[in-house]
Amino acid sequence: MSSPRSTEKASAALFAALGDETRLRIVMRLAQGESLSITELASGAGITRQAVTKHLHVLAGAGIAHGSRSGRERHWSLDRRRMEQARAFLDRISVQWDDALARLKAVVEGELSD
Amino acid sequence: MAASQLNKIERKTLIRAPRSRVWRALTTVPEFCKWFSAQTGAAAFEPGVRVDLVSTYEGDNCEKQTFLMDIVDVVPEHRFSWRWHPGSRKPDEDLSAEPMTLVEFSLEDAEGGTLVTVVETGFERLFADRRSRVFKQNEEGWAFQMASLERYLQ
Repeated sequence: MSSPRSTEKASAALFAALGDETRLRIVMRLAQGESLSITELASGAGITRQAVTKHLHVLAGAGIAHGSRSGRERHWSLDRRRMEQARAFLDRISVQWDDALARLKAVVEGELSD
Repeated sequence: MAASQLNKIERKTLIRAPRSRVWRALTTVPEFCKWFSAQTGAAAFEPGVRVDLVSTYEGDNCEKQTFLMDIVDVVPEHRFSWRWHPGSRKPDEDLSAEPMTLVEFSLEDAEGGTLVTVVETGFERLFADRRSRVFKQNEEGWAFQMASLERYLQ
């Protein structure tokens, strides 16, 4: 179990890493589940291999992505558990919106059925 | 888990009432306060106005929650939007340095009533801000989960 201080530091890095649009795009590609090479990540994304490499290292530093060598190339994939930390917050907000919409519906429809 | 959802929340509901009726419930202060469970001294929601709200139901620690809404758009029967700091906060907490998210309600005619969509965006800015209380709250939640897991395993 990691200490609160190291967890807090890791979390700050996680959110900073996700705060960049290009990195978010890379994360979205990797979130489809397949591990991908730098060439595959660069193609179609309109960014250079060098830029992809730089961003992957930031993601790796935040513990979001990791690379493993397969053959001549390194393949990159996501660490899902780290991503769940960001999701947990959004899930809480989503539940609050579900509740609010249910109350709005109840207020409007309740009055109509009176 | 879809990473595309990391910067956006979208929810929809069909309300069995005409659009004009839903619009009134959504944007007139007394009715808004009814379904949002809040109180405010504000007279009306108008673009550019900052609205101070106090939640009328009590938070986890029986503390009143407060909200600040910066009203962006009020387009009758179509769109109502504001910026704010998402999540709960204590009355004395100063969030002025934190980025805000954008909440947009939109209404469309649908079979049997009105389709209400709420979209909240801008979380990536929040996640990028190291001072953000969002990750602190999240961290507390995470630490709590870890602690209960530890207890469970012992």
